[in-house]
Amino acid sequence: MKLNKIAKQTLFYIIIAGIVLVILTPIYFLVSISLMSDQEAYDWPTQMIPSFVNKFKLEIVNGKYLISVFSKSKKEFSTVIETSSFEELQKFVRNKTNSNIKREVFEKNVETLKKLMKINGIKIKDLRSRINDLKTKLNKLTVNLVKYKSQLKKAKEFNMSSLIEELNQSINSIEIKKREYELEISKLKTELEKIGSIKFTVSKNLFDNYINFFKVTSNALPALFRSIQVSLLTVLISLTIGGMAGYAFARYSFKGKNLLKLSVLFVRMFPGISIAMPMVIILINMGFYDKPIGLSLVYSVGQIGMTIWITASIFMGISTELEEAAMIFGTTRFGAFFKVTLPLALPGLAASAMYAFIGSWSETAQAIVLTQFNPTFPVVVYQTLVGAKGLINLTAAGGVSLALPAVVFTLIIRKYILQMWGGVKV
Amino acid sequence: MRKIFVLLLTTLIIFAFSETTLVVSSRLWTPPTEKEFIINEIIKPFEQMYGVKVIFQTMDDETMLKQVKIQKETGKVTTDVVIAYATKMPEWVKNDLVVDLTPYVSKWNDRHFSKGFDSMTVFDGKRYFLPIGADVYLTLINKKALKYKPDYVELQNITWEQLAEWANLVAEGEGEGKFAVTGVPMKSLIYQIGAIALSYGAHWPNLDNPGSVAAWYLIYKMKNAFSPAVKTYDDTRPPMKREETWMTVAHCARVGEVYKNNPTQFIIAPAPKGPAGIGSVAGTSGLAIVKGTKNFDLALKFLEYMTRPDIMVKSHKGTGGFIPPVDEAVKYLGDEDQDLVIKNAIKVMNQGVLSYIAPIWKDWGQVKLVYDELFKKMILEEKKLDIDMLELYQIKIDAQRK
Repeated sequence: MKLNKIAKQTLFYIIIAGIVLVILTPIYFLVSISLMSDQEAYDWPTQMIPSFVNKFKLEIVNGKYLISVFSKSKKEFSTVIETSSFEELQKFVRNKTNSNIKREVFEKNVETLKKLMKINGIKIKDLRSRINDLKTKLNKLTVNLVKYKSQLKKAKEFNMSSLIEELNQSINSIEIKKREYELEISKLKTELEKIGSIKFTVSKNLFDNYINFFKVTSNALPALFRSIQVSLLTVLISLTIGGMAGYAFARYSFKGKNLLKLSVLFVRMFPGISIAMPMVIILINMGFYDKPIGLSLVYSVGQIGMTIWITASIFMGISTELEEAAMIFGTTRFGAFFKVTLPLALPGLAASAMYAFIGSWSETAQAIVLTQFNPTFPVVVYQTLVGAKGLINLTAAGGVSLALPAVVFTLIIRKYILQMWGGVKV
Repeated sequence: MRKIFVLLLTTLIIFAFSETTLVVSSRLWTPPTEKEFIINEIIKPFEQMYGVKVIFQTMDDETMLKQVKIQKETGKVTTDVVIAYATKMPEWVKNDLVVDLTPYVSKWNDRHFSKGFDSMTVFDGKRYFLPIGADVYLTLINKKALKYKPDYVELQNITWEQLAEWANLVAEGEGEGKFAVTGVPMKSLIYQIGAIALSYGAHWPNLDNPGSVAAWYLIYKMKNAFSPAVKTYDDTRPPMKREETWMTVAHCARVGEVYKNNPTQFIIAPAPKGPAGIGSVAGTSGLAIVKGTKNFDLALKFLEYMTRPDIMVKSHKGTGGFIPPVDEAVKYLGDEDQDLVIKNAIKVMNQGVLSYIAPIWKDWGQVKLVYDELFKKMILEEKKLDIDMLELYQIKIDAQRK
């Protein structure tokens, strides 16, 4: 019995943990990528936690600065840029790693490196040339090794025993030589790193992608405000019309009520994009094309039906006797509605508002068609996403920025929504 | 009297401060960084030069065409200039949406548009589009692949046979393929295979000719060289950037973007050669003026400015690896990383065996799908070269001819 209970509880918690994981993992991934630099975001395997600092290695090769950044995934330094201009280096490193190397820091390190190179100049040159020689030899060996291995595979297929033996011998001798070269190169590289390079750490601007997103998409900020405007207008229109209709459905009986109630949902069954094209012509003629009010009107068409359903069921749950009692005590029908019914219906209205807000906030397909010079924020994010295939971190920053206002709005009205889930308390 | 004076003064102020606004819709320069460069470095000087305002917006070809069609229907033309892709140009002309620019362009003596693109931008002897950003295919190699490079391979003169051998060596050595093509249907696989086919003298995109069979034979030989995740690639930039793949032959602007992002890690070269030369599918985007615009003179000035050889080089250097399709542009190129990308692309354009998407197809997407299906079925799944299958799929291609 006890074992059964434990098993049930374990299963319950596994399911809960699974659900939390399914919901949180993509959100965590998105937020985490949005805080990563380009170098980190494309480092494979991608790290779970974005770094807060970048470790750099500076070398001077053929009179040019060669800068590398430490890759946590590869556990080694990856080269970033080779240039003789500090300005170019600074700009490039900033874009790639989200770290701004200050001139004084750079100059100080260059000075130290130059001193180091002055002492070990000949040795550094010798080490570099030996490494290059060994690399050339190693490349030749690698190519031959792969060729022999592929021949061995074929020889095994055709069961050519004498050839197999011969190839195995060659492969073994090459592998031994290859390991020797690799070890030698690794030793020389460590030595070169000690006497021919300098390492330093620079802090990373964690929110650089957000700054860049708003910087490179110049219309992002106005689009953000426009989106808030559109969503609030949609909430207002759908709550006013849908709320009134919901009250009528809850309180009055009339012929064809159920059919009408069902039919308000029909409009939601059509894909929004299919009505977007004819809507353009209607909105142009109305003078509402490319304006927040035009978009709100189109969005409200779909939202009103949902609002009617939510509010009607809420109003039905509020007893009519309460309104009647209020009227007996001297208030009017409007007074009874505003003082008694409306406050009790607030959770349902909040849920409808949230639904309308989120629905219109994240809508993209219709907004692309219904706007030209005044796009909404999802359109701007979409355009960035389409254009920025190789800039996943920038797109993630746009995505998080898009989700944030909807999250804030939901948090503001969470009290009412939780009330609705807990039932209407009279 | 006083009221009239105030009214006049207000009107005067409004007129004095109001600017003429030119609306430019473009399918080119969609990445945000490129768009910002064009707005700040190219368009701003134009705005200052003429005291006007230019609204530069980017969108895909289809949306742009739909928008302008609706503007024409409602009689409210708000877009002045468009930058459309070559495959869509016939539709713009057929729907009478763009202005014939021949009489105006013939007066410009300081530039000559590359003749190779006339077949796409000139219709019935009339020039409707001015080519602005041309594209060809380039080779991009991660330096990590160099350890498998056979001695005799010279990257700037590499052949398809050599690249295939090298890619196979990489696959053998690393235990998995490192060559990237776009495996997601309806992406650019047809152009990537087109580059091979053209270099073998094929009548691309037809499949039933010796050149095409030779190209598919080469792809068959590379069957193990493709990355195991190739079916998930809709673009070769991300796998190349995260070093999941080490080799690709792709669109010059995409290759340019990856190369510019880390020039110390990559090597760039023209597309490989075949017996017929360097094959590449070429395309261009073109500037046009929308019919019915109220700002025709300003739109023409904008076109004149944007196609100036120095401005073309400046815009292409700042945005990636597109080629300036004006003959005089070459003399403005230097030796920086961006110049290198453009120079390689120009080499392909000038020396290559080029083909383009002729406006003879009912649905080009269906032709693209033939290549996607063949690659998936014949190369990735069955891993064999099946000439009969090539001939069968040719029927599908023929069915798409107008």
